[in-house]
Amino acid sequence: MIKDLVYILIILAIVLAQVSFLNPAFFGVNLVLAALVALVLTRDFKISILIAWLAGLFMDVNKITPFGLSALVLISVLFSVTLIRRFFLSLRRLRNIAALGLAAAILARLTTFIFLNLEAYFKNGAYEKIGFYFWNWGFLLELAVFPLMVIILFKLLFNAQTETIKFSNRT
Amino acid sequence: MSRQDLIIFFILFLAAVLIIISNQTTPALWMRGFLTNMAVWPETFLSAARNFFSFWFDIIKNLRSIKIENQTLTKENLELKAQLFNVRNIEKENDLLKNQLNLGYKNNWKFIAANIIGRDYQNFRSFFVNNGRKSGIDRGMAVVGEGENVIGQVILATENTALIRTIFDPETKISAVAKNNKITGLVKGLGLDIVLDLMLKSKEIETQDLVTTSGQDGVWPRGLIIGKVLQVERHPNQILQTIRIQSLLDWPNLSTVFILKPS
Repeated sequence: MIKDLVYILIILAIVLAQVSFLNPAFFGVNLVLAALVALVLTRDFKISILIAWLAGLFMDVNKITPFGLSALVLISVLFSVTLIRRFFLSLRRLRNIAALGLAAAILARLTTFIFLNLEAYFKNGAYEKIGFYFWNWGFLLELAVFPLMVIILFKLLFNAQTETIKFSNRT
Repeated sequence: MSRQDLIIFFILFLAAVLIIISNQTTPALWMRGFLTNMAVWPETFLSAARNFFSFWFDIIKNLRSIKIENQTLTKENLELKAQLFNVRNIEKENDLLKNQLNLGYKNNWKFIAANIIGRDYQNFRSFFVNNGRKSGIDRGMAVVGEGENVIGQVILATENTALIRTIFDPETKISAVAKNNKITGLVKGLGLDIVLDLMLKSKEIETQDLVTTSGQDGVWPRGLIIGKVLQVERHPNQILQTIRIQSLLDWPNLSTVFILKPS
């Protein structure tokens, strides 16, 4: 219980650091998502998803996108990552984490595009081009850096050893 | 994944969908306001830390150029002091003429300063500032930066904070003019770029031309700077041309904005 509270505080601190300290000029990578992916790989799904939901709402305070969208995106990505983890954990460990991070980065942009444009389409009958999310340098940078960040956070922040993650605990 | 995990996921999923659907209702706005109030102090502290870090990082990075610039500026300062006397006289004359022509729009607006304390992490489409309704800021007010460059518009204001949608956002549309009011068009955000649209191909416009607000949309006062022309795109089969605009602001290092309140 105390450990879960510590994780909540860590993730909220990362949220605040991301929206106030880091910005597109410094680092356009979603640090919060990286921490949450690392969390869901090491902790209980229920706790991780609750923290993700709360972190998403805090992130939305700073965004012009509809309030609640980041929460929806984050829990959807974590759910997807948890589903595809079974496949990835049958491969070599460290590479798996990087692959899951890569999948999470792509899924985060894809789900943001889908949910945001669904809302915009039903509300205004308009939608954005998918290229805005995928056809830019920011996305390429994210693909390059994000898996690395997930591995670092996985190893350091949650003090996890990939070898100790038992597949049986996840099912 | 257990059945309990699935149930919790779907409950949170539905809760998030419900919040999105009921975005403008009192409970959703209350929740947003509550989280905003919780985040405002740590975000103010962290953004101050960021500004401090950014300031010293820039100084260390540009130490040599700052020294050279300082020498140039000292020289320029002396020349400017001499010119200042003449400018003051011209200013007085200008104010008199503006009042006579009823063009003194700046006198009708109050500038409320606010510091940026939160940003969207991947783009410049929105900012979160540490000043809100308490200072008279309200939804729909125009926001400018240094040198009266257009930044965007307030889309949400709580007691102590405000959310600003910038000119990069696709929802932004500003009535604009170029070439000393000779050419009019509509400035739109494209997410990462700004364009001047709905302009006839017959209208000649060149790179580096200044684009300003026309004041016809009732949001932005006339004469605010949007940017300069970066690129003109003309396609053979279209009667309209698209002009890419470059904002004159240093967006990555933006820390203070001014909200225009009608006085």
